[in-house]
Amino acid sequence: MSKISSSDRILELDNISYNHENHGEEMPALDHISVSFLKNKRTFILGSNGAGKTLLLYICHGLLKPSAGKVILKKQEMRQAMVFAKPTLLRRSVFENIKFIMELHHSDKNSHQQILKILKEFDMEQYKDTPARHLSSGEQQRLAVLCAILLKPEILFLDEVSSNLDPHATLKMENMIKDCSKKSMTIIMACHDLNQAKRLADIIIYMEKGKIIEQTEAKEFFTKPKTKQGFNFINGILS
Amino acid sequence: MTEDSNLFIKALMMVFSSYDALHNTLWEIVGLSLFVSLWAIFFAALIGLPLGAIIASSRFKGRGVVIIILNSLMGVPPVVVGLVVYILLSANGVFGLFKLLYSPTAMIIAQFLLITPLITALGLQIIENLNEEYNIQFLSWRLTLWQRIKTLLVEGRSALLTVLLAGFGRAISEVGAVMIVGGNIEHSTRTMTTAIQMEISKGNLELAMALGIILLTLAFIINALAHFFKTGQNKIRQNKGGRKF
Repeated sequence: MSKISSSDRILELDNISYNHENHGEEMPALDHISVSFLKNKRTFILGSNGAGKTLLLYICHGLLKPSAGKVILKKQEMRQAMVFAKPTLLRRSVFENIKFIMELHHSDKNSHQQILKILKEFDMEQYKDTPARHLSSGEQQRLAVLCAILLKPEILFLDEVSSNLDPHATLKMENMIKDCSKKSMTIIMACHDLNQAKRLADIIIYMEKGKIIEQTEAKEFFTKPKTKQGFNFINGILS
Repeated sequence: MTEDSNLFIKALMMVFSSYDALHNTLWEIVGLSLFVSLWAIFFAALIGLPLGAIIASSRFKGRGVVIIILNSLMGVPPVVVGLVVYILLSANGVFGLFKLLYSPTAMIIAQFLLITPLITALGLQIIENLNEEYNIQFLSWRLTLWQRIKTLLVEGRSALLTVLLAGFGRAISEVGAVMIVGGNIEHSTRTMTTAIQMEISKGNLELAMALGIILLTLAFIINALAHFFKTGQNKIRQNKGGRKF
C-alpha cells in the first residue's frame, strides 16, 4: 500500500492480542495485531470462519477489552455504530425503533414527520407500523443499518450484514453501504463474500487463525495477492 | 332441589340482586379488597420491577446472595409478614405513632411486603433473559444503566404484566396477614378472605359462598389475562427470527 499520513488514520490497533479461556487454559484468538484503518475508506476484513474477523470488530468498537495492546482512536470521543450479523431489534414497530434511536442520541425533539421522511428516504415507508421482528431477514437487516446510520457515526462497523440475504436484499444493502460512504463515513466490514468485497472494498485485510496475513488495496488483492494464503483464499484452495 | 344448590342460588341472588339485604355489605367488602390489593400491587410494581431490572442488568459483589434472599422471601408465610407488620405498627412499635394498625393502610403495607419479593424475583428472571439477548446491542448503543433499565422494562412489558397479575392474585387471595394487621373490622378492614373465614365460623354460609363466587371469578379473570399476555409473549418469541408463522 502507498504511504499513509497519520491524518488519514481514523483508528489504529497497536499489538492487539485477545485470549479465550478454555478449561482454564488461555487460547489465543487474536495474535499481536497491528493495523491502521483509513478515514472515509471501505475496509473489508476477509477470512474464513473462525479467523477472528468478528472479534477484531468487537475490539475496535470497544465491546471487548483486548488481553494486550492498545486501540487508538483519532480523537477521544468518536461516534461509532455497529450492525451485527443477527440484528437485535426492539419489540416495537419500525417507526418506534427509529424513534427510540433518534431520542437516544439527539437532544432535540424529533417530529413524527421527520421519522416519516427518513422511512420514505430509505424506502421503508410501507413498514411503518409493522412490528420490527415481523419483517423479513433482509428488511430487518436494512432497518438495523438504518438505525446505525441515524446515530451519525464517523466509523460504521458491519459484521457480515448480508451473509443471509437473497441477491435482491444484498443489492439494497450494498446501495445503503455506498450511501454511507458518500456521507463521509468510514466503513469497516467483516465478510466472507469475495464478490461483495470486489464490488465494495477499497482496502482488504485478510485474516487467518487470529493473524493478519495481508493488508492491500482491493484491486491489488484480487489481481496480485502478496501472500500464498491470500491467493489460496481467493481461488478457493484449501490450505 | 338439594340444600347445596339452594345455598348456591341464594349466594348468586346476593351477588346480583340489589334487593337482597346483604348485597350492599357484600360489594363493600369486595370494594375494600380490590382497593387494598390494587394499591399494594401498584407500590410493589413501583419498587419491585425497577429493583429487579437493576439487579438483572448490573454485576456487583454479593449479587448471588441478594438473589437467594429474594427467592427465599417469595415463600415467606403471610402470617409471618402480618406478625412483623403488627409489631412495627403496634402502639409500642417503631411506627406506632402513625396509628396505622387496624386500618386499610396497614393491610396495604402487609400485602406490599408480601408481594414485592415475588414481583422483584420473577421480574428479575424475565429481565435477565432480555438483558442477555440485548446486551451486545445495548453496549454498542452506549446506553447508560438508567436507559438500559428503562428499555428492558418496556421490552418485557407483556411478561412483566403477567408477573403483576400473579402478584395481584396472591395479594387478593391472602388472609393471614390482613387478618392480623387489619383486624377484620366491619365497614373498615373487612376483606373477602377475612369475611369468608368469619362467616363460615358464624354459620352464615350464604354470604361466605357469595364472596367465594366473586373471589373465584376474580381468580379466573386474572388467570385468563395472564394466559392472554403469556400467549402474546410466546407469539413474539416465535417470531424472533423475523417471520410470521
